[in-house]
Amino acid sequence: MRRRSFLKKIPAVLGSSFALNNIPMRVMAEESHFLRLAEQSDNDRVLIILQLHGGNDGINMVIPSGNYDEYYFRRPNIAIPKLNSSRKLIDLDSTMPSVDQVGLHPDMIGAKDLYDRGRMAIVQGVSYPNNNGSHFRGRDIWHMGGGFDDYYSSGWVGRYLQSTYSDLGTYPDDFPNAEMPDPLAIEMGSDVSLVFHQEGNIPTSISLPGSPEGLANLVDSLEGFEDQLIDPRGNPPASLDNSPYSEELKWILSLEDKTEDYAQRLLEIFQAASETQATYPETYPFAAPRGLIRNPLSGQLQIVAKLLDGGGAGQGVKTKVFLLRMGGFDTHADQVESYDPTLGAHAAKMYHISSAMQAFQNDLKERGLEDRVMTITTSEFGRRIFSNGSFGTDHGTGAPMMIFGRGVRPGVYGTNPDLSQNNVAMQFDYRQVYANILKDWFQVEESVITDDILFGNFIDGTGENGEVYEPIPLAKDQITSTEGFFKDRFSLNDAYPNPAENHTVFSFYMNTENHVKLGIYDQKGRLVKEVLNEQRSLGEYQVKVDLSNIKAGLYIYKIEAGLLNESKKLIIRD
Amino acid sequence: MPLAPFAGTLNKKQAAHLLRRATYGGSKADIDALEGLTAEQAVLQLFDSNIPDPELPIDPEIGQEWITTGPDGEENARQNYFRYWLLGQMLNPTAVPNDQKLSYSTREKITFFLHTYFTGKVSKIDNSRALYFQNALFRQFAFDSFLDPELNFKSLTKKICIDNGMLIFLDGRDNVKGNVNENFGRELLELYSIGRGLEGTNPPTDDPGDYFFFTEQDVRAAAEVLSGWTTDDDFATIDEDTGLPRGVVRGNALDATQHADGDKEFSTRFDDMVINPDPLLLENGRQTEASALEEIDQLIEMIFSKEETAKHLCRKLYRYFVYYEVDEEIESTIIQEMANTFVAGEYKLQPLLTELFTSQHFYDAAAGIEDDKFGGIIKSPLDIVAGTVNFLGIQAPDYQTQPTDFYEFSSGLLDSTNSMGMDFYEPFEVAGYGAYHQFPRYNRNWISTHWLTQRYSFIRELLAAPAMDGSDAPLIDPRVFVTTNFPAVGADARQLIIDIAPYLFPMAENLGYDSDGDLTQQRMRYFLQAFLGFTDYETEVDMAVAGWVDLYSQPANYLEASTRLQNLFNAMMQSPEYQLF
Repeated sequence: MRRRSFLKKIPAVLGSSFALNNIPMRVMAEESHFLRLAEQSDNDRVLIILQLHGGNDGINMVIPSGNYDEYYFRRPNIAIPKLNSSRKLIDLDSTMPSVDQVGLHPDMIGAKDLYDRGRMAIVQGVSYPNNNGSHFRGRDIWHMGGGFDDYYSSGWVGRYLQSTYSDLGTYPDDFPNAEMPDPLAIEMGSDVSLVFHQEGNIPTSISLPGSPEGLANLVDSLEGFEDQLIDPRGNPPASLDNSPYSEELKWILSLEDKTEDYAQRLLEIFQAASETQATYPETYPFAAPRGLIRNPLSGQLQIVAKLLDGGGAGQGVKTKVFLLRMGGFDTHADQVESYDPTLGAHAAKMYHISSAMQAFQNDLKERGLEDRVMTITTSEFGRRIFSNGSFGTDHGTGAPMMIFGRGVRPGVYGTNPDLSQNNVAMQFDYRQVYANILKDWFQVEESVITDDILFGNFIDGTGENGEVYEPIPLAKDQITSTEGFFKDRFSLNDAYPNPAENHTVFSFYMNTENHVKLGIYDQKGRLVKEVLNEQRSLGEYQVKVDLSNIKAGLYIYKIEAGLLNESKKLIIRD
Repeated sequence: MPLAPFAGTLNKKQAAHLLRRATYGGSKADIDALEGLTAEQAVLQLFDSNIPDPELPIDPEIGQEWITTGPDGEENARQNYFRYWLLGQMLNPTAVPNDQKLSYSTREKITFFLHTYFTGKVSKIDNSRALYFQNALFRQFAFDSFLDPELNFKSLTKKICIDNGMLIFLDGRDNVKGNVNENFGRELLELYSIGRGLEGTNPPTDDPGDYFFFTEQDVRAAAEVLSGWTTDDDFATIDEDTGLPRGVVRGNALDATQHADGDKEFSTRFDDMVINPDPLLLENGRQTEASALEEIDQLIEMIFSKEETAKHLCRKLYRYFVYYEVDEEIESTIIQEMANTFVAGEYKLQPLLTELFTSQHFYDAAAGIEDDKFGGIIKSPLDIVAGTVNFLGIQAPDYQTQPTDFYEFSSGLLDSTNSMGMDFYEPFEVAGYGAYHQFPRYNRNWISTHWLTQRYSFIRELLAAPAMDGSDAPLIDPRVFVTTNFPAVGADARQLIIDIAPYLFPMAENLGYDSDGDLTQQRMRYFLQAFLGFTDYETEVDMAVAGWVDLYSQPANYLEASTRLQNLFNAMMQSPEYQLF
């Protein structure tokens, strides 16, 4: 379905010269197994997992505005206003069917901008069968990439990395090496999550609590890291093999090794990268509980961008996966302020994610890395459709996932949830999202995804309850222009009639509320007639313009409205 | 059937093991004193009915405690004082008589276990008195054999339901009838009582919301049973069993206005139990504080009637005190037997722990080393900090008479604990610190690339720290430490390392420089080289060792000898071996 509708858009894209080269490439990439194989060896793509810990309230993030009355009815004390409020939901995309229209939280202006520029997708109703209401079990399931009753001691990313780098040996023993001198994965912060675990060995990631400087300097100066030249670094004697002591000791030793291996390398790369040119948000601009004011992602995302940059093409880390965590989504109480449902703990978090991701994308663009990086959000579950009495929500099941990046196929996948239920029903198994990202973004062989990573065919197989999966083309296997997506949502249409005599009609479409400046200019750029200079909400507009006072000639009509900046020629006849 | 008891007497390794696991670590003298005792004799010293209760923390601004006197003061600072004070309890406070220190420390270790079990976070509770009283509740129930016979872990679970700190932490105070807040009800079932079973062993259930031991229906029903309570911000409502403050019902004692009225229906996992109020406790048909309390009583009795609840606690205890990996064999033997003891012992914690600490399994169950428990746990940052301070005999300033000095000292230690990955009383999530619940790694969660460097860094900083009196002297004079604790071998560099090692490391028998013992000969040589500062072992060792005799015995060389010993301690304690206990 999705693919067909995408193909239909080709003519629009063909119109621009630079897409010409890309279209055949893109089609070929989708169809050709060989092209994909060729690329596999040289895939420089990166995935960032942004884990929203505590169970994010997806319904107040991606608000089902197409069914607003029921939304309001089910959670009146925390519902985000749709109309008549200075802070109201942001209509996301008026090109969608009206029942599936969604609005973003009012503090997600940054995300709206990314969406309009074709750098964001939303997947509705992501869950898994028998969704578990436990934070801890739920998170483990998402990290291990299993079902509700699976217990793997490895994580899906750990298995992905293990299979991708199996040619280069076994982690940790054979790493780093010349071809992969960097950590396979980095967890920002001090932990190492289950997601990076591999069976029977230390995790495939290292943790980085702040800038690499602190880590490298410490390692350099500590006596505990001096011993490796002289002795086997505390490797236990063979006589203690298989004792619990020996097992733990080897675990620590492996991590000690990796710390030393990577600390200096990360520092060098970090220092070689130029400072960011993007402006990252530091604080939430409105009132919020203490502790939620500072943006927890900005600093970490800046480090990720610098590590990927490393001072120039090919100089950055080859690390494939980064994990960032953000806590505090367990909003049983005081999710919103009692006096204003658009403010409070959840609002601040929505702002932090959205503004930091916008800055991050800008940063990546400045550094020429935008094509390489994709970010997904995960959370162990969504929250109930109905609110509780304490301005909060209890644990639910399904929720939307957000995906950011130039490599994403923008849009909203899936439909609004049935709000008469207690919970958001599953439309997509979370493993379908992972599987399709592995296939299209990391270009992993489908058989490897099925057999070695997710232990099931989540691309086009059949689920345990007989549901048939269809491929979800979330990620592009070739990075292409997003112009087609953009033009569907922001366009200045051809004036009619043109050439015109006494009047003409300008029409335009825009997907974001904005101040609109529309005017007619002469060939020297002087304003001849102002047509519009006012705030307009999103939608399609037609403006009939009287031309009787303008003498015949060639003119330009131009619109300036946020992302929509376009000009066209207008001929006026006597 | 109780666990098989440990036979014979404890050797040094076993005595040190007991103290490392059951307390926040002893000195060399403490370990030596337990050596040669039977396990039973040794453990008896850990449970002393006469140990004093801690003196209350002091707010230096007012020069006295604020817990009983009232809320006027700098609340944020007081929450920190609470945390510093609590750490101080683990560092052998000066007020505790010497012969009761080990028992005092044992009680703190169990008290902290109860915090890892019934979690709390300073930032959410945000009330120093609520934090203090909850901690006092834990401390009271840590040694529950010395309480009234009917008070036990089950009663503690009832008390925690209406504890002021817990009512804040999991939104119990926001849980009102008609529109219940499920937060506490869920975690009570999942984390604080029956749990989710042993990972990976529950048969799959096909019903969404059925977690085998409880269901979403039970979460909701429990939330209804628990509805209608709020905090008593004056801490004036006293529980008659504990003498400690508790929460209150909304409304008043004779009209619990926000407590759910009707039947609370549980699932088949609880045999379709229905909890409803005792009609004798109602006032004109209305719910009262007594009827709401009695419903909680029914709820906890219902949960504890399931054997799984005992097993869940026993697994947690096992992971905290013995070993993190509970496989199906351990589950069906040790955990099962512990659970039997627990149930048969009227849900008392203390006899269960006594049995555990005196069992063969706690040390080394069978022939061979594969099930030896020595060194099988990665120390928590708290164990590193408190254990190191206690072993080195560093005495914290007295918090009653020198509160400012004490807070400076303990806040420095807590900063270190923090940077090693344990945000003290601020676990990342409501399940508590990852080491105590995160399948499959448990205590391995304490080690990441970052945290390991911080552990080493703590040792370096501690050994380089200046004395607290502001003089030029070091906090720890390693030479004084050696002459006090190892007088007979101080001058013998080789023997000194051999003698110190068993007190620092869990595995340190049969050590030598020309053959492998529990440490390889290369490792021993490395320690010797780091200590005496030479590079080529074969050609230089004899000269270096002879040189040490000189350095150690001549007063003129005092400083250099100290530096060399500091190097030795750095080498031995900034090591993977020292991370284990």
